[in-house]
Amino acid sequence: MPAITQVAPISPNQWSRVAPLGSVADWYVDSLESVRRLGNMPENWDGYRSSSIPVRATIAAGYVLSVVAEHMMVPPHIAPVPGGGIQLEWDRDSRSLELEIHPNGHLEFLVCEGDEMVDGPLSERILPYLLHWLRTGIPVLLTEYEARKPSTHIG
Amino acid sequence: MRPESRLPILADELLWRRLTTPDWIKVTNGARRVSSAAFKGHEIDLELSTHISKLTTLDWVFTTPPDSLGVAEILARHPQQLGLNVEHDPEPDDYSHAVIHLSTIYGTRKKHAKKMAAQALLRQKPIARLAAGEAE
Repeated sequence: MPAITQVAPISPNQWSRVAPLGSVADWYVDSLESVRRLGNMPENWDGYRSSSIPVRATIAAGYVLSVVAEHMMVPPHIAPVPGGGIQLEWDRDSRSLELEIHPNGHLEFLVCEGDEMVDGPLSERILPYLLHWLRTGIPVLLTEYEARKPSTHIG
Repeated sequence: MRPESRLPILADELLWRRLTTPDWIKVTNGARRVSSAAFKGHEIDLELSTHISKLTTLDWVFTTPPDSLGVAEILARHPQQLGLNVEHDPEPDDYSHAVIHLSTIYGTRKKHAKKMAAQALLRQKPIARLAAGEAE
């Protein structure tokens, strides 16, 4: 389970950047197309009265994808979340990582290893540590972040 | 529906959750699995719709709205072991309808979604299996 540093989440307005195509994974452009497609889904896209995915969420998802693609990760599975969010998820061995972009552009992560789960707000500073852990399984610096979370195990 | 027509949900009851978007089906290590997004619900709808398998058929689920390309099949004991109430909730045109009452706490809800998705079996619509190149 990765040890991570608690930092203030970045405001949705800051999630905007340009990723040079030569320096990113080859799935990057396809993933942006998936996000665009999700952003075009109408109200009630899930048949259970979900709202559509707002532009703010698709912009934030595009930003996160650009950061992830620079780390040459395997492509995420991209799924719409009821209520108008977007989820990026990876599974590797017994580890998994989910990044959720909320309709308001706010970001959260969930990491799982076996039955153990840790979640929290996602920041640009934390993301590389999460990706490193997912790739290698090697925990990084133990900081106050985990110490502050009393228990994240659910049975 | 009168309360007396509601059945108790036993732990070994099989529930089907419609996968109403193909994006809720992911490929992990070459195998198709259910994304946790299918179990997340959201804060203004904390009742996750399912069907009690013994009271309906896959054919009925796949031919009635909302459209789905598959269902996530899960034993009622899995949400129940997470402390979630599973309730038979018959509708006028669907006696099999049941709901999983999700947690009101977002962080708990997403962890529960991850757990339920990990325990769910994907049952794909036959035409979707053919389109994916799988044998009948």
